[in-house]
Amino acid sequence: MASSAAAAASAKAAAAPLSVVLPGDILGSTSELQPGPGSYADVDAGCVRASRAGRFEPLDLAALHEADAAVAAAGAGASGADDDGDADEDAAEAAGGAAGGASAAAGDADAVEGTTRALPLAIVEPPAGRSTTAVPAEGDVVMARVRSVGDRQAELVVLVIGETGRALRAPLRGVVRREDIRATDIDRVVMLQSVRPGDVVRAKVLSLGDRRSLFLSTAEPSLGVVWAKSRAGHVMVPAAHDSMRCPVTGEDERRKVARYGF
Amino acid sequence: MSAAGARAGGGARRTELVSYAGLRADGRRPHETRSIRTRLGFLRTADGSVLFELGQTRILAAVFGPCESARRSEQQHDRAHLHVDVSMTPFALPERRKHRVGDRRLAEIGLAVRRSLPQAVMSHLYPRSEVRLHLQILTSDGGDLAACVTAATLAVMDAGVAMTDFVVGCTAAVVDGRVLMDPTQAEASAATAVIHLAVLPRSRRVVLCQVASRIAADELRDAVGAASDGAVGVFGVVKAAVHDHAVKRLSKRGLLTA
Repeated sequence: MASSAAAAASAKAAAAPLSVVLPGDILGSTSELQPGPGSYADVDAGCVRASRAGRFEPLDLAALHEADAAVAAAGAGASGADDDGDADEDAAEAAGGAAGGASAAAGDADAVEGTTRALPLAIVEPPAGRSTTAVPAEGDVVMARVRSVGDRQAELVVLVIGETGRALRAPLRGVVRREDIRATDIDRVVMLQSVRPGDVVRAKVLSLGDRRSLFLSTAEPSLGVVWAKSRAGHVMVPAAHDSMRCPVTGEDERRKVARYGF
Repeated sequence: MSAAGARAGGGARRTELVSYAGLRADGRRPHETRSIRTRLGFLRTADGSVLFELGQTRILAAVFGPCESARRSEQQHDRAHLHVDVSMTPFALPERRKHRVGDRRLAEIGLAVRRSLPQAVMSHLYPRSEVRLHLQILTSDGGDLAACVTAATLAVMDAGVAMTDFVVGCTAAVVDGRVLMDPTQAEASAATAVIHLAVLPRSRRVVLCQVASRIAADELRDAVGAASDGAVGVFGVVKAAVHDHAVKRLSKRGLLTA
């Protein structure tokens, strides 16, 4: 283990082999690497270290930006020289991994901001491949089920953070206030003509709210009800921006419909 | 054989802990730790877990989180809150007994973990969230505190929580001016002093040092040195375990094909 870490540290960042690192392992010096997801800068020792167990891969962002087209070409035809082709594919793969893990590990990368020099980014891909944080931030899109609807606000239970994130282990409460239901004509919003208990709503986090619940908003075309059952108990289909139709009875019901997925 | 030797040679003293051959009751030399076994990801339901065995001492550690704090009063706006609870099975000790949650000894272990683990856990990356750590002492044979610290590190690491380093625990006992590393319960209860140490092994920084009895200054130095060496030894073993587990998990996902 020590040998693999030492190898990773001594090897040139761009050509480092795939290696498994452990928290505290040295990935490289701060002059040749900047900390990314799963790593941190040890300022005292002047090196970048891993902060979780996983696969270490340096991602050369500058080279990636420059050779965007070249990477695509290398992916399409493997006619290039062996070494170059492999390196490019690895870089492309790392880019995919970085995009996937970006939201999960955004917190880890806080040290990256500010340093805009084009040093390769150290990324440690976690073995479990799951999100490491499950706390929403302002601006996140969440999926929530409506629990109750009042005159002034609707209470929701957040089911998932992000579009396809993993389900929350512990339910998270949120509210949508009447003025946050839609963007226009907000004085004439009628709560029960916008959302109803049991609906699934796509909403955005306005603020982390008070101690009890998040403040959510549906005041965008892509936000609002995405799934609802009619009075007769059938899943409805969107009919207009403000109504959904029951496919069985043909009856229309008023909702603040999200223009999402169609 | 060594156990028999210890008993036979102990005519004058009933508790002869190191035989004339320089061996302890279980055949170890004074500066040897017991065998360590780890099973990472032992529990399916937890985000991170480990079954950690240090000789006859077995610890089951489970981590849930980081997730939104269940209790808002414990939420900290700039970092994760580490919740630790320690329990013990009724069959953990030679005498069957139910251990209350508020047991002083268990609370002390919980406090030690709560104090030493944040030295390595990068909790500022998870504001407003909570990491719940449950430690259960399945069987106890000395070195519980050190084993709990090490097991906690492994479980938190298994949960994917960012850490700057491992935190490794080790125990040393002083018996007749002699340092015994990683004492069993029998050795610890016969010792004049027992030192519990938690160390960041890469920098050898001591993050916890606990001694419950009076001890001479030079003996303390020897004991702390021995426990620190022991911790580095334990580090080598658990590091290999975490590495192997990561390799297994990564290759299962097809990320280590190259």
